[in-house]
Amino acid sequence: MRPKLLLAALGWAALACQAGPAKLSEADIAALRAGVDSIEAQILGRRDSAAAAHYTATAVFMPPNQPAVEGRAAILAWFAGGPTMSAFTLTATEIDGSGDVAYVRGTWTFAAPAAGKTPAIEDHGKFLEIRRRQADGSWLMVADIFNSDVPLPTP
Amino acid sequence: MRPTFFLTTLSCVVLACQPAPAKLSDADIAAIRAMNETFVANALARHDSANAALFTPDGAIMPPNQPATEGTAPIRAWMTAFPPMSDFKIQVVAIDGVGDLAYVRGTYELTLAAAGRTPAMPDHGKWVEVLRRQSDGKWRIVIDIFNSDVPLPAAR
Repeated sequence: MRPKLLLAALGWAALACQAGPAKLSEADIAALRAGVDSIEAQILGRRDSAAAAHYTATAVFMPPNQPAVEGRAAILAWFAGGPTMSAFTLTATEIDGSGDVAYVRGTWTFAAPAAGKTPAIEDHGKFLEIRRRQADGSWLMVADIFNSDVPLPTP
Repeated sequence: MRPTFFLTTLSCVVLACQPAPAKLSDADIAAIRAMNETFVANALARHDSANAALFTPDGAIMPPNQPATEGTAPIRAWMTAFPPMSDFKIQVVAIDGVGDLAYVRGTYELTLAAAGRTPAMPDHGKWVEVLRRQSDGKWRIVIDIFNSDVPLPAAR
């Protein structure tokens, strides 16, 4: 074997030797951003099953001022029980991760019209999603937590 | 150079080139758990600088009913402004991650101390942290978000 060939082989092996899990690719980040965009549209359009399909079967959804909701079926029921919204936005401000784990941090806005004795609601806040790449390549949420930026009314 | 030597060297390189463990090690999980225990002890003792240092320099804390706070100095100021607690406990429910990235999910219980005519106020809820291993091997918080499980008082 010639030294040049062996050096090339060693160089290839060294390049292939990554120190750790790869950073997210541009395609990963695009897929994660698309996930945020689609759940926004699905929640606003009351396509609750489609929205719940962004969560793993054992995911934990953590809304404020109530206990955590565990499992896709329970998350679907939570979506189905929510008010009809006149506006809902999700904006991803940071997407990062390693290998098959990613997180999405962002902000949300929400408005619901008055219904019966319930006055119109407007709210805004922030969220954090933890997502894992699935065997089929899709990124699903394993944890989703959010809260409002709006101060509580003083008693 | 002899082919046998080259092949042996190449084999060594390839064998040494193991992919990083996909999951966190037991040592990682223990370190992350210990860091969270330190956070609780620091919070109760009002060691705000020490707790702010558990965040990365551009880390963010995202408390409910106020905007996010980013960076070590603003996080320390936020902690300093937080009302004194007579009790604070957390329970780590899940720790997972890959390589130098981890996330932790847990629950908390706290009691804001009585002050003047304001009675003690208990609260309990849930939280999620994203952590990254730093160049010194320590795990530091990139994002910390939490919210209460307690329903809002009904509007009058």
